[in-house]
Amino acid sequence: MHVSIEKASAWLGVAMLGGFLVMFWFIAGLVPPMSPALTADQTARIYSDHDLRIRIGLALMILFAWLFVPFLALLSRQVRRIEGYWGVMSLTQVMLSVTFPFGFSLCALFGVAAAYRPERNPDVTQALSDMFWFIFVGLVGPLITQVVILAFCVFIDRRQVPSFPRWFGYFNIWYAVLGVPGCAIYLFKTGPLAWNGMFAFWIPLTVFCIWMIVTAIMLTKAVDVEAAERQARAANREWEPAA
Amino acid sequence: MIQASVRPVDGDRSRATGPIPYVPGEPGVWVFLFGDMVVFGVFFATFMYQRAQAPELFDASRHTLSIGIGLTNTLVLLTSSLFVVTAVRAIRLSQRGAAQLMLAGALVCALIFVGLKAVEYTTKVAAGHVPTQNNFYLYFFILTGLHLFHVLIGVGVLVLLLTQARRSTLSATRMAVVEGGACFWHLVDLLWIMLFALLYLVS
Repeated sequence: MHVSIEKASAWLGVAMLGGFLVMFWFIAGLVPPMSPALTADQTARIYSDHDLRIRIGLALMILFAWLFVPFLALLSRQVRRIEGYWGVMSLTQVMLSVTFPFGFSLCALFGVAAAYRPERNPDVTQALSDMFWFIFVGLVGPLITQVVILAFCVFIDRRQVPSFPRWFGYFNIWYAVLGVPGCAIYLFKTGPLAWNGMFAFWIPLTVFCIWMIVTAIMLTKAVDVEAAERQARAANREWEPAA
Repeated sequence: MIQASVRPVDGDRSRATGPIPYVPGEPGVWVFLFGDMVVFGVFFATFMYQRAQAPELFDASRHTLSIGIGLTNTLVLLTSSLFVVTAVRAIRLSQRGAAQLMLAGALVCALIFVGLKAVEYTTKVAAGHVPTQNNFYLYFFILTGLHLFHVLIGVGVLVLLLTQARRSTLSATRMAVVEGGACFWHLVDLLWIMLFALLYLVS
């Protein structure tokens, strides 16, 4: 039962990744992003022309963003298993996991607010829209920290049968390095580091999708490793340490 | 015969002798190295695409770059790579003193690179060449900035290597980490050579 619940939470993460793409891309139509160089009037027109689809897509995200949490709970548990106790790494992982769904739902709240009153002053709509993009694309610190901790855990795992293969650690560093450029969107209105740019948006988005899928697969394997360990312990009649 | 005599120095791990292909570092590190190379490839392609949009502007702007600083930085990084290669070899031979000296040399080179980059940036900005001036300078600052970010990570990696060089013996895993770190430094060097050619030389 444990095993199937935990594997289900790993796959729920992938399902939510798909859900996110459907909600933001196909329903709300906010991907590909609008240009930050648009005037307030042009920005406001996008929100008033597509107000219903934007509100539906983002309302779904505000409701469902929290389904990312079981995936992150499993991730934190596996870090906890490597660390061996509730130490700094696993607790940091838990606390940052709390922030993860806000990255999606908080930005969606601002986007919904921008689309909610099509008749209002365009400057206000533009400010709310800016907040949407600043949070959605620019708030990269929490996830990068999580991923760096995960990489570190993979490298220091000295147990006989480690939970993750070592390449997964390097894979996480790759993701962390490529996720960083997103933090520069506040400085640019055009070019590759603007919020609709190649380096700040498209590459981090692609790498995020790859990371979610690879991490989900790795988590299901880690669950198998844990189950085998538990079975061996039971066969030897050893006490299972409280996890 | 040559293999047998060279291997102990150039790739000393018992399983690596003979015809088995030898992967420097550990296979996992190449996930990162190749992944990073692929993305930099995309960066370079983006730059080439933008250049094709405005060839005259890019060529005129290219002539305002300080080729002296660029070339010096290329030589500095190549020298640092040589230091790192020699250091890894010294670590394999357990010549701790030599390895530490070589890594310190590589670190000095890295810091010279960062210093020269700072000088280059400040002179460019003082001369009015800022990222908002045109697309060439936008990409110049972003691409060299992303590379500089890699150099700074590389400085951390070199410090890690220096701490490993102090150890009297290295386990197979630690040796693989040292080799992986050295490979990362070579990647930083390789990316700069590409960037130098692309930004300063190609007309």
